Amino acid sequence: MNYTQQIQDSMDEFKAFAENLKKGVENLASSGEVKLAQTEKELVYEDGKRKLYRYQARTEKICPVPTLIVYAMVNRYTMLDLQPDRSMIRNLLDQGQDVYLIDWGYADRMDRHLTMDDLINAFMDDCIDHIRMQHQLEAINLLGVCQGGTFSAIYSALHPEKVKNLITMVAPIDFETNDSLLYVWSKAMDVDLLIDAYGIVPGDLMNQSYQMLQPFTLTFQKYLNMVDTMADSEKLAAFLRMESWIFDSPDQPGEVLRQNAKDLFQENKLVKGEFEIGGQLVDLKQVSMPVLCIYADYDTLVPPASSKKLLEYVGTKDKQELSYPVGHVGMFVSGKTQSTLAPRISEWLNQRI
Amino acid sequence: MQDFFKQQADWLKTWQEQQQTLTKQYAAWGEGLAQAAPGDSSQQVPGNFEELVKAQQELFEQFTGFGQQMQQNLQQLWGDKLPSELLRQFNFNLLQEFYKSWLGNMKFPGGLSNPFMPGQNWTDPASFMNDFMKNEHPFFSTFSNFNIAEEVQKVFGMFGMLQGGKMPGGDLFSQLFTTYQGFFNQLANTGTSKGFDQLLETFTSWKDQADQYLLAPQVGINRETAQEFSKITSLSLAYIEAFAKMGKLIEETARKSGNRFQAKLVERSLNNDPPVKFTDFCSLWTKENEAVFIEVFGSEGFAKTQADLASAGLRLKIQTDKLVEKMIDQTPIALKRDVDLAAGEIIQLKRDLRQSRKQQAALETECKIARDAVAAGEERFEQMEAALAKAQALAENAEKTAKAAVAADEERFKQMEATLAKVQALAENAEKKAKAEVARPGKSVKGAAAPKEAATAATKKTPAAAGKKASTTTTKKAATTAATKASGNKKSSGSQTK
Repeated sequence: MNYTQQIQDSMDEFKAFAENLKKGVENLASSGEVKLAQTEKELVYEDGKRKLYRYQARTEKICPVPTLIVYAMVNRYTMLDLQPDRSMIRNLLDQGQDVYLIDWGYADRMDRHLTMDDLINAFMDDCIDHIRMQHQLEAINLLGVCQGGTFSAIYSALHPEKVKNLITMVAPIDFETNDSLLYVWSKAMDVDLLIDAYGIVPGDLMNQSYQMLQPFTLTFQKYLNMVDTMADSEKLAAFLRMESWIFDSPDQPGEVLRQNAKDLFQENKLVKGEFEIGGQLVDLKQVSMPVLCIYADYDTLVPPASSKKLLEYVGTKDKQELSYPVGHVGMFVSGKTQSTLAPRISEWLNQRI
Repeated sequence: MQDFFKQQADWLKTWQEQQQTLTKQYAAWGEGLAQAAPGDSSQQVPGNFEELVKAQQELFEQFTGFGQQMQQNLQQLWGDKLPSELLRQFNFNLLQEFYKSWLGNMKFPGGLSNPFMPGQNWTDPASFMNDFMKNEHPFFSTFSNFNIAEEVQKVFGMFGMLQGGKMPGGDLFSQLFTTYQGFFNQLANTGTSKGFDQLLETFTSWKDQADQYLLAPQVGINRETAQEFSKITSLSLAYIEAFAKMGKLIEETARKSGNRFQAKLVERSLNNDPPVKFTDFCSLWTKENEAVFIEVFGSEGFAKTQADLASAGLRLKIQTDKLVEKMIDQTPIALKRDVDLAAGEIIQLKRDLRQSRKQQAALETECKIARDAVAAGEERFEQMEAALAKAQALAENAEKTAKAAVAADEERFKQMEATLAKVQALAENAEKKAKAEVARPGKSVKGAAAPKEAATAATKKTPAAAGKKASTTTTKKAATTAATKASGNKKSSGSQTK
């Protein structure tokens, strides 16, 4: 290609860029409120800020064993239901699953003394008991996402009789690896000082750490690329929904973060069999129900090495792993997972009812 | 009362004098250290601590000011047009840090080779970017139909508008570049290469000595407050030191990433594949810089530097919070620690409440089990009573039957006795008749014996009469035994029902 052509291409690109930007600004001005998590659901149980929802069925034939989704506390569950055509929850409902979900809410100063024991042995247990009672079942399915996957694995080890099947998705279990910058950084942090200084650790502080994982891409390139798509109002709306989710980071209850960071990230106690909550030692060998471990091959937040190690430590013989060539967030919104992830999960569950 | 106020005023005056003395001492140490620093202190090292802080402060202000200006412009331009939620999505806090990094490394050492104009190397980012975009330069001289500078201005202007930086009637692109150049100059003068190292070394040495004084025990009625303030000063110095170390690391990394980016630019140009498109250029810039930064970010050295910086900031925050709380302790405003204490108590109460509820639920379950057991016992007892009643009725029936049987036997026995008596009477009569016949003269002996035989035969014809007393006793006993047996059997069957 000669220089004239190159320059012509460059000029064309500038013109297109300028036109996209002009149109995009117009679209921004008329885009209105950014709405996420629109799938219909009903509040069935609550304890203060923490709530349990049941999603409205979308099929006639419903799986007799309901599935409780436990999301992370560091972000909002809305990622699982970002928009109608990018919704893992909706896909599970379409597969006939009966879906419940825990919403941890937005922690504030009153939650600074909240512990993992309060969350796992109290609220999670109450939710699971509520569902068991409503359905007259001994045990239900548990699907833990990211940090919620860690919580679910811990719960399953402590209360195996209440969990029919366990699924973990991009869940950090083994913290020995240094494949993620977060794992490296957290090992050097003075966690006690952080918690003592803040009590409730601001969500924005966590977000800054996430942005530093790809400092140039996430603070500059992303917004430059946005110009290419913002002329299309649908794509712009999708971008804004994702943007809204990314920065919708609840503050973290200090004591939960303290134990999470010190006992798990720094000392890796869970896989060593030394992790303790509420005076109980958590032994992953007690996880006796079937386990499906799902992880993302290109996950920079929770590296695969951290997730799939779960299968080495659980007591069950019925264990399986499933991976996708996507990143952490891509697991829930990528086109690669939309059509196959929920059916695979559903099939695995249905075979074990 | 007046004496009290006078006393207060005197204390305050004394405290102020102490602070002034301290300040003078700090300044004197700073001067001394600056003089003692190697090299030409007037060129490389600020004369005293004030200047050092001032230089750092100016740098901070510029970066902070840049972000604030962006934010302010955004508000001015879009505040009345866009939803507040959308406005909040534009966060410039980190942008300014990375602009800093970018600009910090863009003084191209030795110049960036210009493949189109040998001998006229690009020496800094501004000239490179200007050349990249201006049509006067030979790089763009092959066409002249468009005024590319204007196009670029439009593009950046619009992009700036998007990010909120376009001032009405202003040219954001120019403003940005002017500001960049200001940052760059400031960094070059105060925060890069050799000067940076010396600055940090001198500062650290000064801080160590200052700490000895700052953290020493103090005297006087305001000693506690003075001590707290001194501690804040000390922690501030520690924070500046940690920040400078991080700045040094970022500056070094930015230099490396800049070199890598430049090398890639040259490489692609030499391969006849220069990034002529704006998006290509930016993508390359992002990719090459990020690769270097992520490598450094993944090192233990960075993790430690980052942790040290965070810790220094957190210690300063804790101390500042403590002092602020102390200052407002006498006001009716609830303190953070009060809220924390209340929160702790509330959450403990909630735990206790949940525990009580669980215990109550367990007790209710136990009570229900006990109530169910009692109900089941009562029901069984009733069943047993009914069974017993039935058994008793059966036993009574059996007894009646037995008694009837006995009565019937007795009746029969009486009949038999009567029959026997009749038979005996007949026999006796017959015997008498026989004896009378025998005694009557002329009657044969044979004839006399016949009535006796007849009596014997009659006795034989009636078996019950054989041993009649014994027979009577036996029959009575048999009836009693039958009655008893019947009664016993019924009782036994009643027990089984139970």
